[in-house]
Amino acid sequence: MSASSIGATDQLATPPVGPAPIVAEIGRGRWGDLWRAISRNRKALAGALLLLVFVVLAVFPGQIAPDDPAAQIFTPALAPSWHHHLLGTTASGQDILSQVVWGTRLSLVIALAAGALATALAVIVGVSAAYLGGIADGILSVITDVILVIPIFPLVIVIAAYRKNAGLFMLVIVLGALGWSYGARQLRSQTLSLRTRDFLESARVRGERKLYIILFEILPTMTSLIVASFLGAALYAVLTEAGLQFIGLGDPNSQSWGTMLYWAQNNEALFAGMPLWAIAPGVCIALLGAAFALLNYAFDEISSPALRVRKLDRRRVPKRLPAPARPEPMPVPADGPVLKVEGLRVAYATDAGPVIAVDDVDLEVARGEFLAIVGESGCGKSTLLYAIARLLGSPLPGEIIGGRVLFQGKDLVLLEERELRRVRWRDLSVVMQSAMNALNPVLTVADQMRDACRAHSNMSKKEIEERSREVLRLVSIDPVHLHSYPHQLSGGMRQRAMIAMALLFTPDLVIMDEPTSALDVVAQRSLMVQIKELQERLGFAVIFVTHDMSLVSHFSDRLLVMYAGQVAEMSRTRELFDRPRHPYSQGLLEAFPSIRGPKVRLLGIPGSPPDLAHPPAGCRFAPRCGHVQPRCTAAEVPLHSVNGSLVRCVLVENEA
Amino acid sequence: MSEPLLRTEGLTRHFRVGKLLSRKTLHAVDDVDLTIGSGEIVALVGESGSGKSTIARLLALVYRPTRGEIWFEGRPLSRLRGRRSRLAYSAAVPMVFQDPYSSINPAYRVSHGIVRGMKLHRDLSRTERGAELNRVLDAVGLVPVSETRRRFPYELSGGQRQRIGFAQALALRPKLIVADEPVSMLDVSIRVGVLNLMGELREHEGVSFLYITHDVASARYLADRIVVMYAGHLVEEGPTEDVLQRPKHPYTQLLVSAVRDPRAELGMADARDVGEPPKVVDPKPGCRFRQRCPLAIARCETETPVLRDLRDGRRVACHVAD
Repeated sequence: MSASSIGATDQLATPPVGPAPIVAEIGRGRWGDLWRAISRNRKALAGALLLLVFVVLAVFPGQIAPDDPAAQIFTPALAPSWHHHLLGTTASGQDILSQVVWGTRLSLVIALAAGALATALAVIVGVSAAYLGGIADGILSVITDVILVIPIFPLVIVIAAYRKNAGLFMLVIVLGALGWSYGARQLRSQTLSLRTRDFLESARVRGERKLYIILFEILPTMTSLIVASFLGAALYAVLTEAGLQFIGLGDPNSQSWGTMLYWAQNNEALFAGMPLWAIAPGVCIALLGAAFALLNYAFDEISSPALRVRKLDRRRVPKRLPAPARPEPMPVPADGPVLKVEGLRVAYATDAGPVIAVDDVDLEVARGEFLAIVGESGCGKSTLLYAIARLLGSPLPGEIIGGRVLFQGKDLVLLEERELRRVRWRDLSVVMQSAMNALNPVLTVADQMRDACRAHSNMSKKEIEERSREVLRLVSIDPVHLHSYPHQLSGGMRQRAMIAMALLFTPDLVIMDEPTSALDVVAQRSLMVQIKELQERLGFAVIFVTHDMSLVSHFSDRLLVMYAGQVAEMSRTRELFDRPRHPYSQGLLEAFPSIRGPKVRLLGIPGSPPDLAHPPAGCRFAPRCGHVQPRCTAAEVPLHSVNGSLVRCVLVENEA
Repeated sequence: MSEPLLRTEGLTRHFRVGKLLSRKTLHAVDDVDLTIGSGEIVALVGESGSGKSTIARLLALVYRPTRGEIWFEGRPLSRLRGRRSRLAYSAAVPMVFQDPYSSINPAYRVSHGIVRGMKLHRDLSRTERGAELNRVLDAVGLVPVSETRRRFPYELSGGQRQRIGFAQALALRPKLIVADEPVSMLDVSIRVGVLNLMGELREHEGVSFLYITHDVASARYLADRIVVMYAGHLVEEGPTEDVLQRPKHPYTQLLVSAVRDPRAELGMADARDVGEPPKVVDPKPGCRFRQRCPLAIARCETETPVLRDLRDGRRVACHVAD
């Protein structure tokens, strides 16, 4: 059967790059990606280069070392010279450089072998503990914790002393068998967080066996963590081996850096004019350790991008286009706007260069107005909100690169953090999307209200208590819940408590970011009704961001439809629902199945929103638009003013 | 009456909650009789915590029923013995998950899950698998196929990933796909595309669907029959259009009235309900909706209403509704 017989198809669009991922990117354990990440990371490159040098030394010591390391010249302790013995000789006349070169092999072999053994154990114990759960997890975790608190070095000393000259093999076994616990704990917690992921549930439902799931579904998503754990264990092995040899518990006849240190120490090399005898192997141990540590750190960064700081390269930000004849923002009622945003632009730094998430947005909010901002994920609506409230940074790492946000006669963009604190919450407050995340789980509602009051006012304890009760009553929560913890409240009550907190100081403007999206339909509606009533009673203005246009259809005064970082259409709400002018608004309205009226086949909007790192030329909606014309892609489409609405579409040009 | 494709009888699932000394029993699903016919799309509607996802996982063999039985093509699942027969059932009744961002393994190309399913459940050669992979990707509208199969999950949008979920199910030659809120995490503009896809798969491949959702309007758009759950109980069922235009159970009425219709005026008067579905822990007899119910009578306090038959294939679990 062909796709065309099936109607709507979903053409593969270019992948959205979008803002930097906020959560740790588990998975992506694809070698190509890993390689790209490594080659971009300076720490990784430096570490890899160092390690490569040592690997070459370890593999070809015979070709590199100038002398036989054991050959003795019967003129002891020669000083370094350019002609022969670059680093001098030992007390018994052996070439130090050759000894260092030959010593690399043993250090590296022990590091790699012990690292591999420790990592294998860490993976087996950590992943099976987490995946099997229950008693198995209990037992394995106890073992891990016990091993974790055993001081390994003293233990190794005891073992080494007991089985003196037991050889390398024993050392590797001991280092490996004791060095896995830290990695096991990390892998366990990572696996635990994966356990609830649907792709594992999907594999179970498919009928996969447990072993398959562990080996082929879980492990491949943790490559960078496993590599990091290997590098950590290897680093530890290098140091422990050197330490053991140095205190003479290794094999004094073996060829290693630690052994060199041991003999140098016995001959008091530092005082006998042969300082390089001790310094050379010491530096090598430090460098090999540094190589592992750098790589380890780099892999940590790769497995959790939150550790990485990207800087916005302003030179690469595309210039703002000269807007031909910008139409005046829609007229607002007489007593002036409470908020005026002019030409606001926000950029994110990404690996692919700057991405303009909010591009030249103008808007005004009148006193007591309810303005809704609607758009799909990635259209920049949340970024716009965060920019207005000056909350960019974390979790949204964007940067305002142009424009003004005028509130109470001040440009918020220019305010210092200290001045902002006087405005935020008192006059402009924010209600976040997920109340469960926005409320502190270990503090009661009363505690959190008290903290907010103390931070933004000098109310007395009694006043705070009274005000807290008052705002809870406002949102119809019984004040007995004042001393409840967030988890003791239902989802709807938590969200209302968030709104109550935002109203502590009767602000002029409340900014709401999808406050109802975690609620069920029935609870959603009662919350919306409540917000509207409060707004009419207390007279604050609302900016309400949502992805669901139908949610605000009966509540907002005006509606701003955003698409790909720009205003696509701004209109009075009723007008927009009755006469949507932008093809995107039309498409959004036609995407809702209705509960009443005749059943009609809906089509939705084909394709997906553009990649903002490479926005399409001209109108950004053109690739998905059914009315596209040559001039749509020829030049940037400005906003046109039509009957009091603003529309970014060439179709309305003649109406304007 | 001929045997339906799938039928549950008194399906019940309880979970133990709490610490050792304060053991309690959470009744996620209680006494659910559900039937799904061949080629039928049944919508299972309810708020979060109503037990609809638990039913999905019972049907997918993730949980075992505490009580009750699931009959598939006339055979009881409790008699499934051995891996082979369980696998055969899993292939016939696959599941599509809610979150397209977490339901595909990020470490593999998107073809991984599809191919694994075929390896486990179907005896195909390598070339046959390749051809079948192309067929299912084409059937879910992910064209060009040769391009899609090379992609990694993060290179696809949410809607495209959800289509991969359906392709995985389709590669097993399913008879019934359990779709657990498959569009709720997608953007509005692409939801309809996925709903249409389910309708088309029913039409062209003859697959039945259990469409689990909290969105009543999308249930109306897609389903032949609707089943409404509240707090672990099935409270009303019947042909979609009948139930939604003339809901009998007061909960269904509340649910339908809360559906937003941008084209209509808002009835502010009936928006007073601030209740939420209860967590059903160690319940006493009685209707679980009674605290929120405008029609509640004394009998609702003491006696749990059971589903009774009304006319035209409708059933309702309410002492008052007629």
